[in-house]
Amino acid sequence: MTFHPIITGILLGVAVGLTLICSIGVLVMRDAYQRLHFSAPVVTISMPLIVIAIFLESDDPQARIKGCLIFVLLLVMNSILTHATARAFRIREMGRFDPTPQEKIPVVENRGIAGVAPFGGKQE
Amino acid sequence: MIVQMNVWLWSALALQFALIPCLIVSFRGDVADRLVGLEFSSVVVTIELLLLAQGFNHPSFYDLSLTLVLLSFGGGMVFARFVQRWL
Repeated sequence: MTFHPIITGILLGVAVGLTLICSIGVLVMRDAYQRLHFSAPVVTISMPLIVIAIFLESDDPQARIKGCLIFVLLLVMNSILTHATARAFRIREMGRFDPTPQEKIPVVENRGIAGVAPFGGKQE
Repeated sequence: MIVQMNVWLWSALALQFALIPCLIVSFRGDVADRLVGLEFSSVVVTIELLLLAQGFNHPSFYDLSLTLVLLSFGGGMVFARFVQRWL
């Protein structure tokens, strides 16, 4: 008796369940910045589980290679896209990406080094 | 072509329900929420196509998923820049 179908089913069930939970998270969160976070678990957890399931189920090297390629591309491009989207939202709202002095973001202020403000802005 | 349902196709069917919240967010939210809904739905559809390709046992169908990853990245960047500048 082989356990591959059972393991494949468990992996796919976890992956699909996590994706459904994340989609509900996209629906119930307060604003777009919070909603942006929910694609990350899908890409970093669900996709590897599906790729592992493909490796278990399929002997075809084409399927394995393309599954890995899709995972890597999705991982890289989703992170870049999420950052670019959040940056676009902030510039749209505030008119600039750098934090304003009124926002008083302590972490960013402490990261300024030797007169050079973070993110290339002017130091206060 | 009659294909018997397997665990991959059942998973793809279950994953369809993940698109409903994206649809609701895209219809009811403001511009930013709509873009987030679009990006999340592109990730879900990419996985969906991957599951369907394996479920139908056609490795050449993986190209659809691969193409969608690349195109959704370009489209998302264009939409993000559009939202930033003009909307």
